[in-house]
Amino acid sequence: MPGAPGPRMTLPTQLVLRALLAEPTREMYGLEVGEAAELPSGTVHPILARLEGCGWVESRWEEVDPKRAGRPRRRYYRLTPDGAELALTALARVHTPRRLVNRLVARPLGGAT
Amino acid sequence: MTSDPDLARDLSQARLNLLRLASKPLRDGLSVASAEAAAPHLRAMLKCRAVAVATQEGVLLAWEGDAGHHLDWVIEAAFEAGHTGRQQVRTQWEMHCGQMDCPVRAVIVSPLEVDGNVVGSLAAISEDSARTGSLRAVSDLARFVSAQLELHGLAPPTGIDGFLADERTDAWRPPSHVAQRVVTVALRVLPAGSRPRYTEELRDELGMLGRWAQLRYAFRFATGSWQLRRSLCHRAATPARET
Repeated sequence: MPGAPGPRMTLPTQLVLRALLAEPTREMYGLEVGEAAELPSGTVHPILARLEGCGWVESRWEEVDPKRAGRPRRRYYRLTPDGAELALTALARVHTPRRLVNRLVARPLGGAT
Repeated sequence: MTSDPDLARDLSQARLNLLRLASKPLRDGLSVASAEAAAPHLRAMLKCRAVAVATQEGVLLAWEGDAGHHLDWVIEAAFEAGHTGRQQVRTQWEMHCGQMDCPVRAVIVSPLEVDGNVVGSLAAISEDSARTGSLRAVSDLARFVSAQLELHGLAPPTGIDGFLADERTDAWRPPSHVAQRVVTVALRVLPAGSRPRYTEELRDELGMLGRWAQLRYAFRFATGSWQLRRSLCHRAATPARET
């Protein structure tokens, strides 16, 4: 979504972007994104929704028959090509020291934003 | 009923104390031992002639109080409640116990449910007739007992190994009733068009977690649901309905 304002680069948002950028072409579902970002489970959906709203991330339903698979369809996320570029630029700009990131990740986060 | 605030507070504290005493054994699951330990406190809460706890098949686990000559009707009603999942009432006119001075006016049996399945029943053998208040009191207490029984399977794993082992499962399993309910309530704050998508997405993710991890996930999601709503509402070009 060219021209859409970018997301606020909060620490959890940076962690999610770093996780998605680690393998930009790989699709991951919410639980995997949370694990890769080292965020508590159940906290990534507000971030993913915001990134999707900015056009940095796109999502799609897994093409599977829920009855045959014995489980609901999975929602997969990945960076858009534009999103990957913008995310790299934004992360380079914020320059959150890795040491600080590690320290903050080590303690429970109150919220996801 | 009382207008004395101190007495009202004492009564309230006494009731809370009874709930606490009854809840402890019930969190060990439904068994003869837990039912017998909880029954005196359940009877004190209902202030009735006797209470009984039975399995889903109507097998008696505990009987607290007298009026044992009503046992047959209690077992029959417990069997019915266990198989229909609906509250059962037997009035004194239906029971014909044969004792002219029998004080029992009604037997009220409510099902006990865990994860949406009937696992047993709670019966009140009452000196009051089956009025709306009595029916609701037994029904409310059965819900309380059910909630305690539900917690049995959700005891936190002990030690770090337990937590790690509980975090993910190898295969998808239907999420626990409690986690699903927390998520369902949290989803109500989302725009109506987004709810079906997140209902399916979260159900899939919850099913990949252990039961204790499901609860953590559900409560975290509930905490952040307003943020998710803001994210969805602020989308520059939100589609009319999520696909």
